[in-house]
Amino acid sequence: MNKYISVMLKKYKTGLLLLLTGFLLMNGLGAKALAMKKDTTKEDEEVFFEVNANNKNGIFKDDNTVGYKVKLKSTYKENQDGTLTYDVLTDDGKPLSTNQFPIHLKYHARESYGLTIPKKPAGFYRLVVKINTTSNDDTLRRVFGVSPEKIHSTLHRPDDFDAFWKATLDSLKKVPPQYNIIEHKELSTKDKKVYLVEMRSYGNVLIRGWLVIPTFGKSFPVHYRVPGYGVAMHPDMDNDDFIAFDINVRGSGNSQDDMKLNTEIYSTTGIEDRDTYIYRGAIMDCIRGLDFIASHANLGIDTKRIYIEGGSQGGMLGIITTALDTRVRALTVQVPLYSDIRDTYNISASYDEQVFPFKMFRRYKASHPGYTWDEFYKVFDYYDPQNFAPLVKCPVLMGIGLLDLFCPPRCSISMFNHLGTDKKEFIAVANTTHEVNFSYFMLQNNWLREQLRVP
Amino acid sequence: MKNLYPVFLLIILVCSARNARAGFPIGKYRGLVIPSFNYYTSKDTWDSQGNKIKGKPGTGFSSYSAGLYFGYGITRRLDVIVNLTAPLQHSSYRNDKDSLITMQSSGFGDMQVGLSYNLINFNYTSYFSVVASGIVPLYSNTNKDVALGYGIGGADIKFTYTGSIGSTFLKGCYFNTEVGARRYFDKQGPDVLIYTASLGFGLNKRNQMSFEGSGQNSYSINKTFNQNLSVNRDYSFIKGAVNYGHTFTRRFYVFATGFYTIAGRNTGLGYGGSVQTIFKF
Repeated sequence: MNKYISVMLKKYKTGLLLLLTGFLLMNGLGAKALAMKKDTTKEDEEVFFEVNANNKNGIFKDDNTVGYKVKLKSTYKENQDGTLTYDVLTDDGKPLSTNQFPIHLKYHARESYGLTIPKKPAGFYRLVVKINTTSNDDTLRRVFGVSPEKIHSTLHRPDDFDAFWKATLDSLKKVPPQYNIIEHKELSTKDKKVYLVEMRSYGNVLIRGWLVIPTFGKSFPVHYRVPGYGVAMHPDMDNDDFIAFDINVRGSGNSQDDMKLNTEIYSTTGIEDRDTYIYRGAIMDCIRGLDFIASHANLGIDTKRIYIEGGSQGGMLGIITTALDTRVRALTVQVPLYSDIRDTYNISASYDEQVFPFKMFRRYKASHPGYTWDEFYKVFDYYDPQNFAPLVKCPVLMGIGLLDLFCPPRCSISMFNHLGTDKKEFIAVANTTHEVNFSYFMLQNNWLREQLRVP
Repeated sequence: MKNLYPVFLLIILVCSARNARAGFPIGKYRGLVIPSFNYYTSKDTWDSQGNKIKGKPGTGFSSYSAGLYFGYGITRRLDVIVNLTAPLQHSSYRNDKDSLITMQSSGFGDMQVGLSYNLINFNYTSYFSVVASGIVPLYSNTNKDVALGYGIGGADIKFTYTGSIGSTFLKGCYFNTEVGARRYFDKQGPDVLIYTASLGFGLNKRNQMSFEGSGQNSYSINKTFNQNLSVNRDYSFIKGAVNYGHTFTRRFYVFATGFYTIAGRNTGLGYGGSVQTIFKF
């Protein structure tokens, strides 16, 4: 029997190895293969249309051309003749060039076309690709970046910016936090203990956060998450190597005892006065959360390894909290909201339809006769993340989506370029809007372990 | 009379520390230290045709080996690795007069020093890497009854594809495949083809298990076969292994491995095991 096995294995071992390797490779590529298969099995008549940057992240250098590949496949039984047009515009909608060439598509034949766009100066650009054929019209929009590290923006930092925030922090210090830590056994598992943490923040407002402590270990770094716009934070049960603390700032999630605000009005609440603007308190809520973390080493918190993460509004809160408080060891932000607010306004002006956040600001302005953009900026310059960026000294990882209309890539990158640390990286995801992708979060996980020396 | 058992040493060398790390990059600024204890024993052999040859009474070979693996992430893609073994080997064979001869040697074995570079990552869930290393003998066979290796330098290069499986019925499992070649810098070589495939899965948060198939094909101009394996450089074997790992803390793990040579040529028919303690920093 042994001999038989030996002979068989000898005879086929190379084949078996290749088979196994192939199977495992297929696992990695399985999803893509499945997607392609779906395309080819559709019976409806249509033209499949893909536009992808030659550089996967859609970022190019200003000393080189920009390349895209267009893939087409027709399932129309009759030949499709027509044109492919591609327009290049600035990211605020000014046309730069337009090109067109004929296309001819046979039934089920795949065609591929390369688009070469001449060198461009540093910035972000829109690419609009249109196909018009016998029976089909379609348009795809892309955004690409050119040498983003060279993008520069002007800071509009009020003269008393530092004094304003110092006074705000001093006011917070005068508020006794009155921490109340309540164990929630019904939410806990054998691997994680869940606590609701109540505390008093700026203006004596009651806020809450969720603390989750892994049971497997004695001391952990902290993953401190600050909330996105209108997002109610819940216990984060996915962190095995970190204590997770998720805070709900005033007026959101379970921190609405003293004020209830919906997403329609949150960003404009108190907008006409820098002292009463909602974000003054919200930012202090994040600092208060940091106070809680830093003062509770007895819970197993490694107070020397606190990192903050936030997406969208959470990105803005993360940047500002890190700028105002040096206890933060690392920061990760995705699609940081309100960055370079003036350029965000300029770019949003080119949209066919208004979107968050300027949708709210414009509506507020329209409903408050006499209110001007100058007055808006006079307050918002105290809250624009890019004005805080030079104060951020710890390592930063930022993710952006190139198709993001809420946080235009140029604005996020402008803020990024002002960060006061050399240990900063950004990841551009070519075809996402106001979000990043799975790959970004996998990298973020590795990045954090690298920065915080987590094994 | 001196005996060489390089094949056994190769089995041990390849076994130690690999299960713990597979082909995943260690990560920048992070490292691994893996002390291990390895055992191998063989009484029977495979001849040049792959036939099982029953060992004569009292004959056999056994090896106890201490290993130390060190790995450190220089960048996100590049790791430096050092692997050191210190074997204690027993050999018993019968001479022409059918007298039982027993010998023993110990000391440092071969040291492997190399670099692992991640060529491609697939969404940071699977990694295709290349590992290149040099083999430096830390011993001289001239004063050893049972030689601790070929006693010559070598180099190897291998490609690894490692990752976790996120879809299909194997969701939650992880895998490691390796194919490589090793050359010893001697007229008679040998040149060795090395391959491995393993599949692992978590039993629960703290325990995991994996199954592995691996083998080597060694080629040399010296194809003679002798019952005394000392002179054999042209051989092959396939080995099956079962690994069990337990996580004690986030920085300390223990892996236990049992293996068996299920097929071979010009080599021993044996089994063994290892215990690896993994310290992450």
